Amino acid sequence: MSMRLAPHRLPPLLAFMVLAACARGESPKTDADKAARRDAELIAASKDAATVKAGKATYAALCIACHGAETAKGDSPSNLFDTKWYHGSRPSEIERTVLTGFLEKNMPPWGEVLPPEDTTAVVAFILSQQK
Amino acid sequence: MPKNLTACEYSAPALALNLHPARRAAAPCRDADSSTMTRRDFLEKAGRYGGATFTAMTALGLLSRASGRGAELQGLPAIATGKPGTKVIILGAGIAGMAAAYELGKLGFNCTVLEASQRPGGRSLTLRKGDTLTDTLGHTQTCTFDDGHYFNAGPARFPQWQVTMDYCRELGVAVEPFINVNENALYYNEGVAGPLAGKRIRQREAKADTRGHVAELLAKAVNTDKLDQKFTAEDKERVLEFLRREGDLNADTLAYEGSSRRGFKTWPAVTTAGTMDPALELLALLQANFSVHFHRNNEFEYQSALFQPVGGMDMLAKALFAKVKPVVRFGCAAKEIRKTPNGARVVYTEGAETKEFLADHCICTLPPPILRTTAHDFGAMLKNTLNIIPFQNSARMGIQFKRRFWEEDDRIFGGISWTNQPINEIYYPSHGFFQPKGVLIGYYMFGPPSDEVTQLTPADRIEYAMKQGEKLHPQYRAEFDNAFSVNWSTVPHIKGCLSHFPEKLTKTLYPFLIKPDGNLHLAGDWASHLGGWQAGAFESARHVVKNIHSKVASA
Repeated sequence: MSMRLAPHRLPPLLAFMVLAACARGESPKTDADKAARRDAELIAASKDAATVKAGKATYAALCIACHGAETAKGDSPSNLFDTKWYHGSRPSEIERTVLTGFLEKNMPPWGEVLPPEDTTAVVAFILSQQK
Repeated sequence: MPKNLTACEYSAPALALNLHPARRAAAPCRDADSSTMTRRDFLEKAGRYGGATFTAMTALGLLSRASGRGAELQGLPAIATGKPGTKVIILGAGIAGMAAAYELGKLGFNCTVLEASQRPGGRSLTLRKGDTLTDTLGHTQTCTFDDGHYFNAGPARFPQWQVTMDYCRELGVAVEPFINVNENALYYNEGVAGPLAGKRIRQREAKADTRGHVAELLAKAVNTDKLDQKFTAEDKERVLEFLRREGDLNADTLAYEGSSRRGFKTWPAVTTAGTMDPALELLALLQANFSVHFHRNNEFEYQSALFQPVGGMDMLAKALFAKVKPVVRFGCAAKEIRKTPNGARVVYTEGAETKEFLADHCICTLPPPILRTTAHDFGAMLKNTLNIIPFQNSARMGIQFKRRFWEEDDRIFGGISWTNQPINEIYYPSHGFFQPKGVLIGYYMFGPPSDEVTQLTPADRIEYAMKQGEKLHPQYRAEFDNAFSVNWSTVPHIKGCLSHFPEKLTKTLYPFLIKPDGNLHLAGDWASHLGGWQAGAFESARHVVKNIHSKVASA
């Protein structure tokens, strides 16, 4: 279990630096750089109303059966709207879970069948609902 | 078959789930060797030796062959014995696997069913006194209900239109009404706005008052031409007449002033016509959000009439098993599902041994969590489709109480009470009325709450159910006797409850589930549009049976 770091509360300076680097067209050099860049992109997506709306629709179609609505109660890995993350709390880690899944725990690897814009939107929606 | 066993008995050494021996002979079939053999017994026994008897039975009106909503199997000719393509291996002895073996057997196929556990039925699981379950977390429970009481941990009902009804008739399984809706049952929502938060409200009160108030609003809007729809005077009167009836409105003022439909404070008898409480306010009803529960009466799967097998939902599985028992092998877990040039090869373990089975066709009915983690040769798209099936967990608890207080104190005879607490719903038994004790379903949960309760010990699960259930029924703690809980994600060899294939993907991915992949076929409720229903398993099995029969018959 990892401690939760509220994605939308990523230190503003760090987010700014990553986004600024992206804007300058600099390629991330390390895995840590790539993850930080992706974190920033996903946080930006979570603040885009159209992306969040699309993500909510996909979430309702594919995810809600196991994960419940935004009002979900219960301390479990399937609750995406409480304060605890079991498989990584960074936006890029949440996206990795969506893409590759945990078949042994019944979490589908959605990256095999969904286009990236759909998985990005779902992650953006989840991030937008963090309290 | 050992001579001392009837066709309905099976030897099941205790492993993960052990049904009490006294229960094993309870299947609704008779020993055809008994001296009191009836005409039906004779024909059933004869039927084991030749499919023609089945036709004779149908002609005699002794048996009505199930007719599904999908694949029609009526009139299919039997395949000649020994014809190439007729050897079928079936993985899983749940409803889908046994139905496939049963229907293929009628058509002359040579089937073998491999079941990993030691019992037939899969998720059609009914717990009675003496049954034990050890989940994958290591918790072991033994059912201590009194004799005659049971708890359906899986499917618990079916509507009259489903093929399940047909199979009950065909297999001689007695059915009785399942009371899905009881207007005297309760709604209880807490943490909501308004004066009804945390209050027990009879369902009839919430429904009658909501309908009445909404009908009044609509009637007044119609009457003042505030709707976009333009009505003629005659049309307007027709709409108003409908709304008067729909909401039980005052005929002149179109106001909702309460209705006998919401029940009485003092019920009608001889010296009184009954007195009513005032209607609940519309705003209060909407704040309490009771209407989220209304839909469960309206969805097509839940509309009256619904039924249940007498004695427990597994009675149908037992009756089906009685038909296919000779071809079912327990304790055989599939490890590899392979394609061969003209058929299928299954590698499986039986005890400590690893074995191989070659067949012309393989029907895989293992639940998706098991199937997708078993080595297989499915094509890429089928593999992807299997991997994304959202096979949900669910948690249910059967609670035996020392007294049927819901009947004695609250006059709730069957039906379901609903709450916005995590326990979600409380099912009252639709059978055994007036008995001193009763078993109700204390929670039926999906999603995060079901996953949370799965992590609790059995004792803590009871406290979880008590703490929430007593808000609807304060008698809970005083009358509690014992309980048994099942969390489907931790049931060995199953590891999940059900799935509804995502509608968003029905045109793109769903077709891969229902199309043969070479000579490999999938069957199960999760490979149908009736996820979670026994009917889905039957329909899916019938679909596969027809596919295989068609391929072999045309070869």
